[in-house]
Amino acid sequence: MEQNEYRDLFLAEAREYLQGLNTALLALEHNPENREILQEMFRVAHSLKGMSATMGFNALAGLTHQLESVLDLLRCGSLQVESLVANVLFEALDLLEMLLERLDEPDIFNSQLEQVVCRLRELEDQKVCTQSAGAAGLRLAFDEFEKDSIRDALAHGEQALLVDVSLEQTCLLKSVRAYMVLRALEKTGHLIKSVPSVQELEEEQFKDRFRVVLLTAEPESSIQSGLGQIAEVEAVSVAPLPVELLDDNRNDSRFPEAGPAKTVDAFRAVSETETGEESKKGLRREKEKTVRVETDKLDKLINLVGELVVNRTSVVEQGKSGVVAEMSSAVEQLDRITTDLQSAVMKLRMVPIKQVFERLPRMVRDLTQEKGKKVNLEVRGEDTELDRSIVNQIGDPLVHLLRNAVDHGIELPAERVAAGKPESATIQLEARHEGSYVMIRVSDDGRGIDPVKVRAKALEKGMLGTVEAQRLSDEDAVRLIFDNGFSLAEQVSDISGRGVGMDAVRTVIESMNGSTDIRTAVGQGTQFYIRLPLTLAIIKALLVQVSGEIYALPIETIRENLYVATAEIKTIQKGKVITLRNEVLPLLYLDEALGLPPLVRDEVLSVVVVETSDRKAGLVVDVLLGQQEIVIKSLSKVVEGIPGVAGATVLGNGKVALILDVSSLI
Amino acid sequence: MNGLVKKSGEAMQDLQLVAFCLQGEEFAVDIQKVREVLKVTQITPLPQSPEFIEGVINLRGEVLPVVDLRKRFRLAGTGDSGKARIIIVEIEEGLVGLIVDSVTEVLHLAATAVEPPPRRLGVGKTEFIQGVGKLGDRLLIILDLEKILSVDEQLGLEQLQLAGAAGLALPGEV
Repeated sequence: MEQNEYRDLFLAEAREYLQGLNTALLALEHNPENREILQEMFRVAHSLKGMSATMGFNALAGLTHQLESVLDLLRCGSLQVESLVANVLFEALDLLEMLLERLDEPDIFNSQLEQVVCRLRELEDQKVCTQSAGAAGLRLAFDEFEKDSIRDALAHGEQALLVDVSLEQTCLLKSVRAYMVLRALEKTGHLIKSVPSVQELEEEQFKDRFRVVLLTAEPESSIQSGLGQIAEVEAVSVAPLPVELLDDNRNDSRFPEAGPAKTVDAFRAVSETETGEESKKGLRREKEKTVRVETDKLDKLINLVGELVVNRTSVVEQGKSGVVAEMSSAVEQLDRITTDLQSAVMKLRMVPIKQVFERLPRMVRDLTQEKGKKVNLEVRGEDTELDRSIVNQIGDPLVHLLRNAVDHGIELPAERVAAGKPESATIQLEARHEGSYVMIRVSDDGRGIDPVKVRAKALEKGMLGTVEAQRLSDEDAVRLIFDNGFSLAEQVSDISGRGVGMDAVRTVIESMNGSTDIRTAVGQGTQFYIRLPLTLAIIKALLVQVSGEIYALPIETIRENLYVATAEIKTIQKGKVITLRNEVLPLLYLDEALGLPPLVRDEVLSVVVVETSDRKAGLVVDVLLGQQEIVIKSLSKVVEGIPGVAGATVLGNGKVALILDVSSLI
Repeated sequence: MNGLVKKSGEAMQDLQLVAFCLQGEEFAVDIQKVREVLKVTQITPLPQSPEFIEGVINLRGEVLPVVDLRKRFRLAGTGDSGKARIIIVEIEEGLVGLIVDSVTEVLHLAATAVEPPPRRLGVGKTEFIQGVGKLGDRLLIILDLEKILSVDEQLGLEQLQLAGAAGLALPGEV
């Protein structure tokens, strides 16, 4: 049980780390010289490795270890961030993700794991070989201060010596010997650097060799002989410090034999002096501001608050008629607090859309590479908050839109240049609040969609007649690509640039009570708009009464309410219809549709006109009760899948009312 | 009755049950599966659902389905509405309410006092019976809650009574 709890935590954290690595790697590709990103990646990879090892996920830990080694090489500059390297790293990240998804069966990825590890090793080997030949395994890195001291000393007639000391392998108290060596050296001059660090030497965290940089006026030979007198020192070599080490950024303080833990310590020391500490502190502070809570617990809290709000209503009712005067003010206070509480709790469900946006740059990158195109993805409004359940569902439609944009919307670089556009295309992904909605825009500066061609295709598919096609405005014509029939066409992409699967996008968005739209200009690009409600948990609904029970109809589907005299109703092919503004509108008696016993009907019927993406109908109800915001509750699994019922809500009096699913009714 | 008084070592095997009545017959469910017992509240009917699904209720903000056990067992008539209760039980699919004529008591039953469901009634008919408990001269039909909603067999009262009778007869064989 406890292990399980840790496991969830581990998974959540590991996924976050991986996402961080992916994002950082993308940034790095654009900006290969950015050391800070590398430092951060290295740190994250190291944490991930530690976590995985602690949890006993060895495949994960092993792969992360390889990854870390390569990152280390990149970090110290002995390997350059080229696309080949980036690809291998991305591959490694993908594999890590797969391993995470199937933690308990790492064996199924064995062959892939081998491949990726092998490729990582190749990267590592190439570079390590070329490097270690020059620096004999122990690499030196100097920070600016150290470099200055060395230059200073050189200018003052001292020399910088590189002292390489090997202790006998049988040496028992290596740290003591190392200390004696350092002491002896200090007497002759100024010690500015040792690899491993002095602290590591003291803690005996080295094998049997170490190097020291000494600034001294004494000749090399006297230093060499002085050290030779110390017992258990096997060999000492003293040589002037190669000057190129001072200019060369591509140094490394890595001690190849040393374990990774030490590497990271060294790295931390460097990073804190090199990079300003502000950014790191900022990150840390950010983390402390949040607490991880299981979504189940959150949902429970939200439920309970919902219940409290319902109960409040009845308390407030009684409070108003209360005999005691103080009571009513207390009740008023309670009323206000519960309202605030409810709105605060509803906000807990909101998460930034970043969670979805973060994954997209990577996908766009891979696709542009594959298609030989050049694309700049600009992401804005990542912090826009949306209901958790919407964020979970919006991913696929966005992937689809972006995929379409890259695949069909954006021209090949040569084509773009020929058309007088910049070689590199721009795709913008933006989210922003608009009232109680969130607007997401995906726009590209590609070739756009030609309404003429869409019309032609629609005609060919028999989706509309010639007259209709001509009457259709350009904007409406382009919107046809959201229609079912249209996307069924296999090769639409080559004429319109879009179309395949757009109906799927629309279906998903509409299932969340959202809407889609499109603007396009031939040769200039296309903008897709997705409008989503802020939350799925609360919707506006029209309450109606049918056969003595109250039902809720989501307001999004309602066009208007009518009163229809029974005389106006006609029968066409056994179906009842009315004519509404020259349009034939089928009528559906809700009691019949739901299999409820009908009540005696009046001469005048209440009709709610509803519309879904492809159909329109009038629902006959007994009484229209009015509009209200309702909290959506899911129905238990035992009774789910009842046709015509989308969910339930609790009314002010505590009774459950069913929410009707209009699209499955008509 | 002294079978009920168990040494602590054997107490582990004891069953703690919530007993209830349906048409004079005594039933019981494992108390571990019972969340709470409610008076019958407002129930919203679910259209186009099986007849024994009485509807849904609001339990502190959660919407739960309620099964009328009388209808599930095809019993005619209704119980005394004043005594009727909804037992909220936890099954795999979530919480479900069971409407019963009345809830009688919470009782302990030694594991040895529970017989397996009689097989002789024909395969499949007794799947929803976990066992038959004997408490003195009382017989309790212990229900298997996971099956009570999923078993498609039509559950008739005669079968239940037969099951009870068979349970009475069984001890002689053991």
